[in-house]
Amino acid sequence: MGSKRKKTEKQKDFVKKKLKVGKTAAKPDNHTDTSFSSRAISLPNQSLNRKQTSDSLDDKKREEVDITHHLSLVKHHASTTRKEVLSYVEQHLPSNPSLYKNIITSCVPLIVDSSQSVRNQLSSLLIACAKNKPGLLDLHLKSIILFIHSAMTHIQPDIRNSSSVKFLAVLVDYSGSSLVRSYFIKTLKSFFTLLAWTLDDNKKSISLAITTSSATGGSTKKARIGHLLVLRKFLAVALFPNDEDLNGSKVIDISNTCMIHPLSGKYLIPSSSRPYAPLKLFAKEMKTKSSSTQNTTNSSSTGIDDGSFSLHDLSTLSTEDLETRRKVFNDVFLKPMVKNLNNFIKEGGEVGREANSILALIEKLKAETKIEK
Amino acid sequence: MSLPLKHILKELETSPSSVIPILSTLHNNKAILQTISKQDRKHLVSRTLNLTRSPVPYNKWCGVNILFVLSDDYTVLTEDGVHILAQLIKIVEQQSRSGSLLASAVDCLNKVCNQIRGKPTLTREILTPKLPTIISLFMEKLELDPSLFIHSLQTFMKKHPTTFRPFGNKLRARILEFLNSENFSNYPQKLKELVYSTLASLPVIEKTEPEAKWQADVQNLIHEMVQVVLIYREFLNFNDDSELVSIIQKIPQTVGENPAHFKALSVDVNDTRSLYLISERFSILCGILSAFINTDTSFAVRVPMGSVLAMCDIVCSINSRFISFRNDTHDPELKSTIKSTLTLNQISITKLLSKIPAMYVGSVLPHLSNVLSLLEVLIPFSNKRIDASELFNMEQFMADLLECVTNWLNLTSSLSDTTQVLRFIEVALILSEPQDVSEVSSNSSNGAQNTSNGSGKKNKNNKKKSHSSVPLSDLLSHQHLFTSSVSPRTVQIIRQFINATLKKVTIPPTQYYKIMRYIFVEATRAKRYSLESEIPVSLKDLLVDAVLYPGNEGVSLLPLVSSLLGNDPIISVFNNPRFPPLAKYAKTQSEYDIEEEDEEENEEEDEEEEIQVLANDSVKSKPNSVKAEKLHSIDVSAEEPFKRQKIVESEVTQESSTITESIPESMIFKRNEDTETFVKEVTDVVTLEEIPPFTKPESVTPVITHDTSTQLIATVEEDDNSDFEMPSIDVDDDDED
Repeated sequence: MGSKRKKTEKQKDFVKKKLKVGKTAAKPDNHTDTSFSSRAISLPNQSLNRKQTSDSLDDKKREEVDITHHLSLVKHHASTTRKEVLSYVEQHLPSNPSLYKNIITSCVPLIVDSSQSVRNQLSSLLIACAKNKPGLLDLHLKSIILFIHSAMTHIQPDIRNSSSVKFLAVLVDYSGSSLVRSYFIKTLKSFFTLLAWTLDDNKKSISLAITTSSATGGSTKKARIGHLLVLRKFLAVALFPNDEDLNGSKVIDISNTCMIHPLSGKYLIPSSSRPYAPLKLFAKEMKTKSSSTQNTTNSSSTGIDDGSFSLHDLSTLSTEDLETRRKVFNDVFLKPMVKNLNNFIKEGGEVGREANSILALIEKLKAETKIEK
Repeated sequence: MSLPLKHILKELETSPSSVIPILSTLHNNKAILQTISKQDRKHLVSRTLNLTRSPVPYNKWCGVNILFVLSDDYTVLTEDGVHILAQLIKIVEQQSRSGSLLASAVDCLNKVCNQIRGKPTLTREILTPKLPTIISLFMEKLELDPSLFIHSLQTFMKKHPTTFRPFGNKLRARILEFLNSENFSNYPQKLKELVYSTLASLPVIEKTEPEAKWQADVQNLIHEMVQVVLIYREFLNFNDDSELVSIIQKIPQTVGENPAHFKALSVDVNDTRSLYLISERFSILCGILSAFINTDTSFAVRVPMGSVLAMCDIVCSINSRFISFRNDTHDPELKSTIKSTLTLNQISITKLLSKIPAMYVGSVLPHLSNVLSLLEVLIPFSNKRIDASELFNMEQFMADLLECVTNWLNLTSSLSDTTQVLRFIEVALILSEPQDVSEVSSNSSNGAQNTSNGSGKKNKNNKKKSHSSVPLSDLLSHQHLFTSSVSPRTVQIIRQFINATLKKVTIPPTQYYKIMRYIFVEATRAKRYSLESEIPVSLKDLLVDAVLYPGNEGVSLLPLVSSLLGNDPIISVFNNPRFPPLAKYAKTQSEYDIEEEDEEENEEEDEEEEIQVLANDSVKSKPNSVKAEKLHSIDVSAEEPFKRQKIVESEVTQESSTITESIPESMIFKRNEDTETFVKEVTDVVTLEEIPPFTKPESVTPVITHDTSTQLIATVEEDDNSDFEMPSIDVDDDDED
C-alpha cells in the first residue's frame, strides 16, 4: 500500500503539467514577487538651485543662479540651445566679477564647436565680456589660447577658418600685450600651419605641409583674407611698442615719472597678470636632444655662432620683451613669411592687398631696427 | 703652565724628556728671558748649543727648536748670535738627507737671519759675513728639499741682492736644470710656483737697470712661447685665419742675448705621446710668465700687457674650429691628440688670464672686451650651438673659464655690451644641471644590443638580451640614483659668476628667467632638504642680489624672495621701510610755465631798459602821457598769467601818468619790478654827489619801502613843491657809482 502511494507521488513529481490555452504557467510554490512600483514627487519650490520668488532675495544671487543654470546648458547636444544660452548670457552679463570665471571656463571649449552659429555667438560673447570687464581675457589667457591654437590646427576647415578671424582677433584687440608676451612664438607657428607655410626649407617639410593642407581641405580665399588681416594686427602689436592700454589711455612710462628712486617702479604691484609665469617654476621642461646628435651628417664643430636664433632655440626662448620678439621674428620667421607673402601677392586681389600691407609692416620694422642699430 | 727656569736648565743638561713645555714656557713667558740673569742666560744658551752638538739627532732637534725660540730675544742674539749661526750652518752641512732636523735647522736659520736683518750693527757684524756661506750651502743642498731651500734662497735674493749677485747665474742654472728635468710637470704645484717665482725674481740682483733686464726677460719669454705654439703650423693651416698671421708678426723678437729657458723640443708625429710635450712645455712657460707678471718687484717695471694678450690671442685662435687641418694630417688619432693638446694650452692661458685682474685691477680694464671675446672662443660649439656633451667632458676647464670671466667682470661696475656674456651664461646654466648618467649608459647598452643582434644566432642573442635587461631595469625604476650631481667647486664658481653677472650686466629675459628659476629651485631644495632648513650663504647672496638688481624686468622678485628669506635684514628693509619716503618736489606743468615766463620777464625787462634809455633820450620831445601810455602798452602786452601783476602796474602807471604830467620830464624814473634795482636807480638818480651844481634839496631822498607805488607818489608830491629842477639824466651802464 505504501509503495503504491509513493509510486503515485513520484509519478506526480515527474509529470509535466500541460499548459492550457489562454492561461499562463502556474508559478512555483517558492516564487517571490520582486516587482515594485515607484512614484516621483516634484517639489519645484524647494529646489536648491531655484529660490522662492516670494522671498526677498538679492538680485545678485538670482542672477548667479540664472547664469549657473544657463551655463550648465552650454554642453547641450543641440547647437541651437547652445547658441541661445550664449546669447542669453551675453545679454545678461552679471555685475559680479566672480561669475565671469565660470562663464569663461564653461564657454571657451566652444571655440572648437562644430556649429558656426555657436562660434559666432561665442566670439560676440567674448567681446562683450572683454568690454564689460577689462583685463578678464588677460586672466584667462592660458585656457583661451589653448583652444584657439587647437582650433587653428583643427582638422575641420571651418573651425580652422573661424579660429583666427573670430577668436584670435578678440585676444589681439583686448589683451594683445599679454598675448604677445607669452604666446608669440606658438601663435606664429600656428599661423604658419594655418596658412600651410613652412619654416624649414627642406623638401620634406614642404611636402608635408602641402599634403596636410590638401588632406584637411586647405583654406578658402576668403578665410585667407581674414587670417592675413589678423596676422597683420598680431604683428603690429607684437613687434612695435604699444603706448596705449585697453582703455585707450596712455600707459604710464615709469622711467619718466618722478619717483623716490629710479627703480621704485619695479617694486610696485605688477600690472600684468601672472607676472611669474615666465619663470616656469611649476613646469617641468622635457630635455631635448641636442642638434649635434641629430644632425650627424653636418661637420661637427665648424659652425660659426653669430648669435642668431634657430628653430631649435624657439622652445627655450622667452618673448617677454620687444627686442627678443623682434630678433626671433627676424632670425626665424621673416624669410619664410616674406617668401610666402610674395606668393600671395602674385595671386592678386584682396589676398594680395592684405599680404602687401603685412609686407609694408615688415618694411617698417626693418627700418626701425636699422635706425636703432 | 710655565716651567721654572731651574727646571728648564736642568732638563737641558741631558736629553730633555719633552721639549714642548720648555718651548711653550720660553715662547709665552717673555718675562723669563727679560728678567734672566746674565749667568743663567749663558747657561741656557750654552746648554742649548751643547744639545745641538750632540750626536743624537733628537737632541739636535730639541736644541735647534729651542734656539728658534731663544732667537726672539735680542740680548741672546747680540751675545751669542755668531755661535748660533755657526752651529746651525754646521748642522745643515752635516745633513745628507731631508727630514725634520734639516727642515727645523733651515727654519731656525731663516728665523735668525730675519731677526738680525734690519738691525744695522747686527747685520754688519753677524749676518753679512755669513751670508755667502749660507747661500752657497743652500744651493749645494738644493736637491735634498727643493721647496725649503728655494724659498730661503728667494728670500735672500730679494733682501740681499748685492750679496747674492755672484750666485745669480748659478741659481739660474740650477733652476733651469729643474725646469728641464723630465718629471717637472709632475712636481707639486707649490714647488713649481716657487721655482717660477724665483726665476721671475732673479732680475733684482742686477747692478744697473734691473727693470730693463726684467722687461727683456719677459719679452724673450713671450717670444719663446710663441715659438712653441708655432709648432702647430706643421699640422694646421694658419693661413686660413689672416688675423692670426698678422698677430704673430706683431710679437716682438728676442731682446739681448738671453738664452732660452729650454732646449729645442723634439716631437715625433708617429708617437702621439710626444705631442703632449708641446703642451707641457707651454704650460711651464705660462707658469713662468704668470710669475713674472704677478710677483712683486722692488723696482718699477713696464709690463708689456699688450704682448701678453696678443700671445693669448694667438693661442686661443689656434683652434680646430677656425683652422683646418693640413692634408697630410689625416690620421684621426693624431687629430684628436692635437685637439687635446690645444685644449691643454687653452687651459694654461685661462689660468694666466685669471690672475691678471687681481694684480693690475683698473689698468687692464681697457682690455676687458678683448679678453671676453678671446675666452668666448674657447667654448665648444657644434652646429652653431653649445655642445653640451663636450662641455661636460671639459667640466673643470669650463669652471676655470667661468672663474676667469668672473674675475674680469669684477673690474667693472656695469657692462653695456651684454652679448659678450650671453654664451658664458648659457655655459653656466648647462653646467648647473646634473648630468643624467642613465642616458649615456642606455645609449651604450642600445649599441651593445644592436651589435649583439647582428651576430645571427638567436639563442645567444636571447641570452645576451636577458643578461643586459636585468641591470637596465634599475635605470627605469631608480633613475634618480643614476644622476651625477654637480661638483661643489663647479657649483660655487657658477654661483659666483651668476652673482657678478646679475650685478653688472642687463641680462636678456630668456637667460634672466632661466637664472632666476635655477636660483629659486636650488634655494627651495636647500631649504626643504637641509637639516636646519637653511639656505647656503652663496644662494642667499644670489637671492638678495636678484631683488636689488631687477634688470630690465618690470616685475620685482621681492615676494618670492621674501617667502624664502623671511628673516634677512636687507629684505626686511624692502618689506618694512624704516623711514618715510622723502618728498620729492615734482614740477607740475604750470610751474614749468611760470619758470619759462620768469625767463621771458627777464628778457622783457632787458627790453624795457633799452626802451627806457631811448625814452630818456627823447623825453623832452614827447609828452609824459604818451610815454606813460607806452609803458602802459608794454605792460599790457605781457602774457595773461601776469596780467594781474601787470594790471597793478598799469594802475600805477596810470596813476603815475596823471601825476607825471606835473612832474618835470627828468623826474620820470624807470620802473622795474625788482624793487632793489629800482631802489638803486632811484638812489643813483638822487645822489647829490653826482650833481655838483645842485644844492641839496630840502626834500630828502625818498625812503623806499615795499610799497613802491605810494612812495613814488610821495616823492613826486614832494618834488612838486621843490624849488629846483633836476637835470635830465642819461642812464649809462658804463657810469661808475
